[in-house]
Amino acid sequence: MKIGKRSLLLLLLLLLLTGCGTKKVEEKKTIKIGVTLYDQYDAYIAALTNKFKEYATAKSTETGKTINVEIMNAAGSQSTQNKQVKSMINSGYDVICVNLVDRTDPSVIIDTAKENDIPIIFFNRELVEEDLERFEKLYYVGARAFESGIMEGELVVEYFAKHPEMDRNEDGLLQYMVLEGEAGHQDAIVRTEYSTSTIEGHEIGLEKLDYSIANWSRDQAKTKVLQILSQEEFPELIISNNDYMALGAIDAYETNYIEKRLWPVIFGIDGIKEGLEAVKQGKMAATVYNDKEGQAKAMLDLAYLIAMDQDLSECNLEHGKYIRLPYTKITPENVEEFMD
Amino acid sequence: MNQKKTPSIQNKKEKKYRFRFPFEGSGQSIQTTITLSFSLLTILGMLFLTVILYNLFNNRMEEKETQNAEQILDQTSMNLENYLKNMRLISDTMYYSVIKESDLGRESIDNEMNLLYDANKDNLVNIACFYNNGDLITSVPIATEKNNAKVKEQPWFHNALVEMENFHFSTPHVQNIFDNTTYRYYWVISLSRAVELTRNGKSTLGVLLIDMNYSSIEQMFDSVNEERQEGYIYLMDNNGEIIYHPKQNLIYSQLFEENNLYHVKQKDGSFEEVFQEENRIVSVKTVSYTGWKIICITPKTSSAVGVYNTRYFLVTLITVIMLTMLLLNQLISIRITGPLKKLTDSIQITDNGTIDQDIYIGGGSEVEYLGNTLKETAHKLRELNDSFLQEQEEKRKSELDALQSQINPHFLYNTLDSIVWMIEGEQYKDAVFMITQLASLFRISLSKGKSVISIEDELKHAKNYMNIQKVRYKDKFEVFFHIDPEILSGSIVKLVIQPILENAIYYAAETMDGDGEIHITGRKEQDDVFIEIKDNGLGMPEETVKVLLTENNRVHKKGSGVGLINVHKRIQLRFGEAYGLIIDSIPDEGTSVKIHLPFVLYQEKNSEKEVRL
Amino acid sequence: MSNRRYITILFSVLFIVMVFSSYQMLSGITPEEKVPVSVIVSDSTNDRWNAMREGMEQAALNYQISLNIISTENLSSAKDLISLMRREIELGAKGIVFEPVDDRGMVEFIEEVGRSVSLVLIQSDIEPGDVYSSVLTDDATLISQLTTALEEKYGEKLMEKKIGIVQSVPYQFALKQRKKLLEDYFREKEISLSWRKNNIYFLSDLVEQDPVDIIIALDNISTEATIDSLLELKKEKKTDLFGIGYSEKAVYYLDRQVVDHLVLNNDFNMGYMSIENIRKMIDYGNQKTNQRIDSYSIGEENMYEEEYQKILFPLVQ
Repeated sequence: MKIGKRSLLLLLLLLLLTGCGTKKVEEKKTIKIGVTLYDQYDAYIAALTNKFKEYATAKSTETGKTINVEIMNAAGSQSTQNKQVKSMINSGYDVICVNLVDRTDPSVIIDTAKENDIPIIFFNRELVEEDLERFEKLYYVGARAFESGIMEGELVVEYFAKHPEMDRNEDGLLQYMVLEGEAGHQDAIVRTEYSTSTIEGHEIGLEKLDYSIANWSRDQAKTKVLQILSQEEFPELIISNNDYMALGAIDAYETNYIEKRLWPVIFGIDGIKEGLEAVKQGKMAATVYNDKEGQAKAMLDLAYLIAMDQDLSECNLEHGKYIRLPYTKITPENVEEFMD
Repeated sequence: MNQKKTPSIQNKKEKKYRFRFPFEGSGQSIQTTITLSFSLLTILGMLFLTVILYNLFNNRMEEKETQNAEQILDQTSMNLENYLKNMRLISDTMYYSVIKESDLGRESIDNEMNLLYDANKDNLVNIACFYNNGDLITSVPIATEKNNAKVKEQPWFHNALVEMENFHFSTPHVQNIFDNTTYRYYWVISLSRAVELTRNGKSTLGVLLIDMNYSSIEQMFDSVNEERQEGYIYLMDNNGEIIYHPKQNLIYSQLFEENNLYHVKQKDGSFEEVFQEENRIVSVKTVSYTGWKIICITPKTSSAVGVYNTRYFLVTLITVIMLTMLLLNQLISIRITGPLKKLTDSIQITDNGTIDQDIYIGGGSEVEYLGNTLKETAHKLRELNDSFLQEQEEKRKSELDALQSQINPHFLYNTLDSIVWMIEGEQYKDAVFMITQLASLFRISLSKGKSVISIEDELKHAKNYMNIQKVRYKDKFEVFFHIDPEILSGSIVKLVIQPILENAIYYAAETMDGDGEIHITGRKEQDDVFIEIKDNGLGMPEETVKVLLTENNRVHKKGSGVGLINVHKRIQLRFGEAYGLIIDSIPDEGTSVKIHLPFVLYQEKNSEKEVRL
Repeated sequence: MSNRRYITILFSVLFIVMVFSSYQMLSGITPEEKVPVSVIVSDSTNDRWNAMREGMEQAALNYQISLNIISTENLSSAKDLISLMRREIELGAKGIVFEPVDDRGMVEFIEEVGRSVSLVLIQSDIEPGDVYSSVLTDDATLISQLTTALEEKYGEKLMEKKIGIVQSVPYQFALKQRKKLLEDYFREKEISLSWRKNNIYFLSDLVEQDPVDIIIALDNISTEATIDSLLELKKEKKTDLFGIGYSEKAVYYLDRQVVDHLVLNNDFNMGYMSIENIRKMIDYGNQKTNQRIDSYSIGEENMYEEEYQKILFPLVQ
């Protein structure tokens, strides 16, 4: 009887203690945010991540909470990324930001998150809506991919209007080359598709010289352009899916010491630092600014609110799940505004 | 010194002694014996079982582990071989379908190379083709060399040209030929071979390089290692150079050591080794063509899901079983010994030394029988005890009577009176005789307080008595002794003849004037002694004789004080029911009283003073 | 009576054994509770810490530590560091591994806190005194490796060169030590230094205005800053850079020959050993150990040698 009473008392005490414990958890002082990147060497992703880290430390000093950001690199392997997400969930991360390697294959991550009730913010690489609907704590932060394609197309149209001499052989057609990102990547497909169709929509004749997949890589783009050049083909326009590949194209022309007037007009997307510089120096005609600051900030704010269990309404979620930031056109006229 | 400390030690020793007591066999209850021996047996059996089971399990586990390890090795080596074969296939395709078919001076092989690269992008880092002077012909996906690339110094290049007929797999190294603008460096395993090139119709030698992505192999092995909770697999080349190890970084930093240089010398199969004080099972498998070896390490101490856990599981199981057995033992022993204990508890020794008759009857049939028997015995014992008490009482009374008879005041008074008369009548001689007789009479009747005396003494006593009585009764009767001398040494309860004589005198002498005769005959018949006192007095009717020796004949017509019954009882008390007095009487002819005794040789100790209550 | 007692004793002994073994059995299945340890280094997300993080994570795995690498910006003062450490202790860290960015005013604090929390210093000591466990760079060896490399490259011509020294923060003990050792060396050689810079602000201006033949950067931040300055000024061919550092960027530019010689600390070991030490301290009380890590002297010519490339290019994990 005595023992029974004692253990009952103990149990009560324990309950009380855990009760207190849960109360304390509500006033969380440490937030752990895990980030897994499809490839940390992707210049845009790297820039975005750096901004994210910057905002995180700023937020930490602002709120007095410890915000720990752990960045992992999936290095182009979805299975690695799945493992990373699992291990982060096991180590008690509050929110995990996932930059999917394969946007068509997020099921393992979603299932794991659902099992452990951990919110996930996908970013930059958008998964299909059906997948995002599978669990209420899934969010997406990114931009509207087609918008960037349309803007790139519009930039070409605007440029052509001002500089009709870009049709160097004056055949009325723009011989162009596309530097496409990854095979099957949604952004790549959408950007290529919307940019060319926008140009064609403005009744500018296009002739495709080459279409190369350069995997978002500067070096690979350079190689591809060099190969085109070695085949004695000279495009008048290079439409690149991102700045980094556009820079590769510039590299190719620079290493071959080709006169600037013989260069094609090169367009990029993303507005990374080197890209902006190229625009400023006139090596690149224009680019579309993918708002990495805005995305990084939106991601961090969202992650913070989720981790603190606070109201998400100030994030202006579309359908309660999406944050999409607009693109901005960058031309030599306004490029200064975007440089640090 | 020591002895000063001893009090406490002794205490402890005592406790210890008491502690051990039940195991030592004597003076413990059946329940303890049963429980302890059963428990001991159980524990020993269980321990034995545990050891055997554990060893069996352990061996089986180890066997299974080894099997498992070898299976994993087979699986992994198959995967790896497939992967490597695939790489060789790419190399073959590149060589036979592309390079051999083209004249490099006239056409580009970029597109074909691109195609091959794109199809195997996940596993490849580069495909490149070089002239034998180290100049780059072409490569994918990056075709620009670094300024300071030293192709000719690369081991893969060198090896390919030295041994032209074979493929060459390098150890993992950092790909350091091609330009890159990121800070990324790829770890690759180079597959190189010498190729025959055609350039503007002329054939020269070149080297085809395929850089396999090291991380593909790493992932292959990592996924295996992640599934293994204990132990790991690693990969090394035929020189013992580690290609993959889960703790590669630690090994490079000298924070961890591997026994790879020993393992590389081992043939395929499994063996045990002790490395850094750890017992482990090592399984080796050689990968075909490359001579690489995959090694699977399984620690023996905690193999797989944990013999460690199994050990505790076994212990838990065994203790649970032991606990149950102990409980069962307790139950069984209680069941067996319970009735016995109840029986034992119900046997109460009462104050007067007899067993209480309220005895437990029940339990098993054996115990019930035991109870019944005990009950009966107790009953009989009680009866015996009662009769014994009664006898004691009687004895005391009769002895008191006997005592009384000795000092019959009438007799003394009469005798002394006679002596006075004799002295007054100056019959000094007679007076002296009387006093002598009296003295002798008293000496014998006292007999140092003995209750048994020799027949000789008893007869002497009788004679003394008769002599005195004869004087008192002035020879109104005659006394004749016919004693067989054989019986003189026998034993007799003292003062049994005298009361009979007193009766005889009473009946014979007082009624028969002057011609009363009393015959005292003593003889031996086999082991019995008969002493008959016969008179020729009035005799008694048969009815009187019959009641003479019964209880209700305590009251005497004449107050001689001692009845025959008293004498009879005393003899019986002493020698048993078979003995006593036999009285025959015929009216007007006389009475015969026979004393029936066993012949017991009289010795001093036979007559030791009886314990009186 | 005693019979019952023995049975009870036997029973309880068996019961205890059972409880113990089942506990062991279950505890074998459920993993051990991890000990929270916080790591505070300046600018923690910078990739120069990658090797160290790798080492720490490996050790955390081996030693059941839940690692909490605090995200920080540039920590330049002891005050910031102390407030961060206080916060971590408040939040329940059992141990803290930290880089003392500034050796002023740290001793009192460490002595105050060190009683309740295990502390391991990495990278730099706080004073030439043994206050607590530490895993440090071997500054004397670093400098001697640097000077050996200089001598090998220039020989007697070193006397004619103009030399500048740069470091990222002025008050870190290790940096002061390195600087002093280097100055001693040059004084002995009777070579005067063109300039010494205690921070990296406006480094490019200095390099432009007062050009030198050799710049010696004493830590990773200053090495990277010098790389940037040289590239910006297109002086990478003219000016030789001897640096101390481990980041991907430093290694990349070593490969690119912007950095002529790199001396790097085995940060992987530093990370691993610091966590190993903190585990020992947590387990066995304050066992003071002071360790120094190896360093490697690497030029463009030997960077791809097998031994060095393993250090320079950590394997993708």
